[in-house]
Amino acid sequence: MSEPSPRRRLLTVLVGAFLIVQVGVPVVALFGPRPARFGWHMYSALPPLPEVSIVHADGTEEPVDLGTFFAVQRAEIDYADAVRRRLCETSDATEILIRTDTAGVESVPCGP
Amino acid sequence: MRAMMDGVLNGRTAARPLGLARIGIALAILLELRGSADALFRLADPRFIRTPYVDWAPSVTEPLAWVLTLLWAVAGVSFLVGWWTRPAGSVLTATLASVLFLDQQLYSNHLYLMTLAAALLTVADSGAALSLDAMRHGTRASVPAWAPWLLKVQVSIVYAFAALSKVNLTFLSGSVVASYLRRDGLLAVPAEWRAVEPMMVLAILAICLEAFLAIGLWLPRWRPAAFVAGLALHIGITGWLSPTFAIGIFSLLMLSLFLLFLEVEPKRVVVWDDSCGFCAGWVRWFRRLDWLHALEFVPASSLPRDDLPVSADEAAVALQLVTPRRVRAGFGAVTGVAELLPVSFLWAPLLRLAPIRWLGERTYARVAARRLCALPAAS
Repeated sequence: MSEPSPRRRLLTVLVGAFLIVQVGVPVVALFGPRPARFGWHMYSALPPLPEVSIVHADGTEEPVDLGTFFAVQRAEIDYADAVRRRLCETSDATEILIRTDTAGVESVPCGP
Repeated sequence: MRAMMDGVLNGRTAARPLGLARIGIALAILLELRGSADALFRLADPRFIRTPYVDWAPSVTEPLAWVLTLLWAVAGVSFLVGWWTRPAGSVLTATLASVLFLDQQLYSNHLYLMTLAAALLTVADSGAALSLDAMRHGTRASVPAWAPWLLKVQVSIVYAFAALSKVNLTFLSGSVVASYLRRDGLLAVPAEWRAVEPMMVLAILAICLEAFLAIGLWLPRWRPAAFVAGLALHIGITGWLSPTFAIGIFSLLMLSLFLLFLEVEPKRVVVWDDSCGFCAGWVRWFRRLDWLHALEFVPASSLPRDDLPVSADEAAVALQLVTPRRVRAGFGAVTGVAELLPVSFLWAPLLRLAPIRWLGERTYARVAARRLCALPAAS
């Protein structure tokens, strides 16, 4: 039996790599929260969009309309990281509260 | 398995289904442009929070949004018409990937699928047929089989994981389906219909349909049913779920890829009565719609032919379709032809269903008996 040509070997590697990535990534995503990016989780769950509020220095809580801060709202977005960066910088907030149905209330402290 | 992989890696496949799939996918990509451009320009507005995947990702600015939008439009149109198909496909893939990975807010499943499809169509030489490139340099009948095979595998991956991800209590309860069902417009689903039981049935049906499509498209026996199921699923989700436009684009993308599952080789032979003007009219339409060149038309006057198990007398009675497995006559032949035409292959298998078939056969027999064969046949 003749040895496969270098082109054929390269093609085998490319096709194999494509299949491993395209099957492997969604398999891993199946074991995480839904919906997940690159997992083909279309309409598989009710996206838990969070409710966000700012806690001011005087202790009062002010709800934040995410629509005014995000160009597109998607369930896969890491809102905690995003609002920490922005809301802590642009307001006198001492704390950001992020409420989701699944994870409960997450407190993100502002400051150094 | 080894023989199959040898066929995939060394074999060739028909170029025209791939060319037509390219046109459908390019159209979907161009339709998606407005939504993605809108999101890009919103992200360029400093009032909105950016959510890059990595800190070193470039900021979305207005000039960058313009560049990406223009590249998307120009490369998309070029890819659609097949003008400099490979360079256009490369630019289009790079543009789609850039948009996809610039910011988390720009991700969508159909943009991801578009990026993969554009990349595979580019390496698959999808401009070999049905393109301006093919008009300038000549059409190639076949292309290497591996990239079209990967596109088909991708279709199954999408449906398989869409089905698997829905196997969870929230989805099975029907609440997800109920919440996405259209609430306004002509196709609005009344609130009283969103009861638990019907929604659970719809949820289970959705999972079964997607799982069936992942497998059925690969099985010749089940493929016609899979085409109909795919069409029904996509009409259903586009019509009754929201957002309609985005789902419509996704449906166009997926259904375009169904073309790759059509078996257009070897060519099926249509034997027709060329002494009959009425029959000639039908055959003229079949020829016009045979964009995949899956059919060979043989007039009855050229019979007998050693390679065709059909006599001139049989062809004079009814249209004959010769496939590698059998000969279909009359309404069965019309159904077989429709199953190979891009405009009808998704729904034509319905013509095989008993009530429709009976009606079709009776109508065909009646029309055939009354046809005006005195008219001169069109050449």
